[in-house]
Amino acid sequence: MDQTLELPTFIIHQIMSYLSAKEVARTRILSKRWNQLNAHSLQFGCKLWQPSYAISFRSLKQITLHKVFINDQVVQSLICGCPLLDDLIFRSCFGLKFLSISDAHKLKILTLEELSSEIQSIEIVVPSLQKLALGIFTFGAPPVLNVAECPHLKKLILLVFPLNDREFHHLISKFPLLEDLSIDHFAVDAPCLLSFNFKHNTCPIISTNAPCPWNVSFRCDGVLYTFWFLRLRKFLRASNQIEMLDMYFMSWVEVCSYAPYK
Amino acid sequence: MATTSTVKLRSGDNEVFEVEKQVMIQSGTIRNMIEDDAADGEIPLQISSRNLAKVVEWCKCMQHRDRNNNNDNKEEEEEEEEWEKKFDEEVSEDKDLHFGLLLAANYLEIPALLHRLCQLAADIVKGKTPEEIRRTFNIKKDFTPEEEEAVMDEHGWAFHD
Repeated sequence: MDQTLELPTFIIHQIMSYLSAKEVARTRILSKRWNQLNAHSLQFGCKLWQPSYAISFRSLKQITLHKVFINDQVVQSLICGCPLLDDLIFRSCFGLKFLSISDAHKLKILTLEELSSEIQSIEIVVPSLQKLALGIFTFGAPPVLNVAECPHLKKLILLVFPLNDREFHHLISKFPLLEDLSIDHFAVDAPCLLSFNFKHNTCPIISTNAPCPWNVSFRCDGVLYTFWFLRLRKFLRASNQIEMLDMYFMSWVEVCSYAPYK
Repeated sequence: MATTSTVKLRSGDNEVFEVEKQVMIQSGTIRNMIEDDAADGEIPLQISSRNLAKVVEWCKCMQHRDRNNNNDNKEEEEEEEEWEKKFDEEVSEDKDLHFGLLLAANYLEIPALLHRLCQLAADIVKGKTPEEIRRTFNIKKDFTPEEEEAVMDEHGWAFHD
């Protein structure tokens, strides 16, 4: 029996990390599974311990770290050990206070999603970067953000990231080539705003300070689920500025009562 | 229940190993149980007694080594090196043991042991032809001739010196 089938993928990747790029590429020919294991996208399990060893994946292009304890040192050794990295994702990672990403010459996509509120500063000096997604759980002071050195950015996605009007425009002004801006659930602090239009299928929540009349439009094409409605409820309760509310649903499942909001 | 200084580990085939807690805290899984006061009774583990005995032996050796790191006892140092060498040889020659320990080290969360075993696996792969690797690990070549050709077309570079 093929015993390598019993091993979790990340163990095989760990074994590969001790081989040269050439030796790793040769294992592609072993079987279909080994060919797939070689695919450039590696997904770590939740067992990334503090690497006291050197991380070295010379031909790796994508890394997703999910619910992993990381610190600046781990990030640095990832970037040094993976010179071909073009897509780096930190999702629900914790432990990071000062994030500095530079010398990642091939990096095109960087996603920082649900970073914990410990983060104090983010510095991204990656001229090759094309897409940046930022999302941080924070109720206190937002981290200091320095992304001025990413002139080729085309797509910016702000998940939860607290910015006021001025900071937002300041941020946007750094990216002359920006083509696509997407704002998910967010906090708006823009007391002088004249009009506020929001169109999205996910509900924004958290504090919203924009005392102009709002035109809000929700469109939900997919499956409706309770969580979505809970967020909608919370949003509607917090928003007394709505002048026009447009809701569009594709599916018919009664999940909660709208009666109080009619 | 009074806190004792040992933990009892029960293997999948019902053999009980009584080991010092100080030794077993190298395992993240056991350490968590000790910290949660959940390690007073026997801890049932899905690991065969043969593999578990080896893991315990390895943990003891590592703890011994760490404890003696500061004193310069040449004789003991040599003894430990000898033990590790023997461990490496034994694992490299016995595939069932090697894979069993890989899974056990993962299950028990012992990073140092897992790294060592991965390194040994990599050493086995190094310098072998694909056919030799397949034979070593009983890997079945499941490509169609067309698929194999496609892989070779794309990654043939890796086979040239």
